[in-house]
Amino acid sequence: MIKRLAISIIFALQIFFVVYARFADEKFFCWAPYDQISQYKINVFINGGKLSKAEIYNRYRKNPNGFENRNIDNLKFLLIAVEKSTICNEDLRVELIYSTNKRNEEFWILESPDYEWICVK
Amino acid sequence: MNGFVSNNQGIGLKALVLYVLVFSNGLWRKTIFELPFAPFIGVIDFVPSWIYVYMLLPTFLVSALLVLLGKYVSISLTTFGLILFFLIMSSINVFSNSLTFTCLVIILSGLSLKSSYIINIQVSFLYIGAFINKALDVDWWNGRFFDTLATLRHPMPLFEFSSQYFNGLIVAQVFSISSMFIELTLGVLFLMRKKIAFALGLMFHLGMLILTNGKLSVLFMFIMSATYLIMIRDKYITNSLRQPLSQFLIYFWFVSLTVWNFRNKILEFYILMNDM
Repeated sequence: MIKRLAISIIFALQIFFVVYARFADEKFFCWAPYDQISQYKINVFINGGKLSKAEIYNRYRKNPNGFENRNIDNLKFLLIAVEKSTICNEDLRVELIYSTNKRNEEFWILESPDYEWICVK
Repeated sequence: MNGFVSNNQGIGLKALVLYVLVFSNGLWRKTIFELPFAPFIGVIDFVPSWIYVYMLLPTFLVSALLVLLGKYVSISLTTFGLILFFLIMSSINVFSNSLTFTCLVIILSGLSLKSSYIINIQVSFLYIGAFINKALDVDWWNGRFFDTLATLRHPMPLFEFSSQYFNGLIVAQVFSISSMFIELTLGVLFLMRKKIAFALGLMFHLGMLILTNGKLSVLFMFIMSATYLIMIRDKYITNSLRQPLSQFLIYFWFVSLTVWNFRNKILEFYILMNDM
């Protein structure tokens, strides 16, 4: 009985996430591998100084430039999640420059004036 | 059969456990040194790292060992799968579709070792979910996605050759639309327990590997081969798979994919080092 309930919950959650993905930007747990390809570059400035590639990798555990094989919003979700969990007392600016499926380059910026996160799309 | 319902189910599940232990992009290192890091659920951030190192990791390894030895298979698979799920939830960087799918197949197998149809449903969810996500993206219909994949991400010689004679975007459209409908067909066939689904699935994943010169989805081929083995219950096929030659070919297949994956990883590492 408990096993059947657990199995039903596992399948119900998957249906939920496939539907939820239609209304959310990021696409996790909804079976969307390789749904789009984005070539990206991350720049990070702290107190006006630019972080090196290795420093960016250490901060996000993600290559500072390369390909994102899932939705580009998944990468934005990671950058925001890392910054949210960082007690930050510095002036931060994260730039994400990307091109999805060979379209024109887009810029996404995450800044921290007065510790308040503002995402400008 | 050593705790498993059939010999091929045992090989498939052990292969999935080995995939998690060996190929899952530094899961060990992340578990010991990094987790939790940017978790999906904020409260996981408060889980101390010693829980990962001294509680979760040993339990994870013991349950993996028990699965590999074929002892207490059901409980070991469930434990292994649940810990893996917690590790995935502990970091956005740990998440991948392949790892999540593997995790669910392992948990579901642990919960219902005797019923293979549960895994059929899971595989069906995977393919139909992939179809839905792709079908709702305009770039999968106009060929833009496949064109990017075939020219920028994983250059495909066959695509470049055919683009000389036809409009590149039209060729890309043919590839992407047929991929979507093959995935939908696979989802339906697995739900209906049709044996032809195994052949079609293997051809589809093998086709992707050939098109991309063995660069895309080597590990996904590994995972799906293992999952297909878990699902096979037909007595004639299971008996055939027990023959020495079949056993040799199955192991040879998994070893070949493993070697090919390491080759790809070394190349990726070389490119990354040059870039850094």
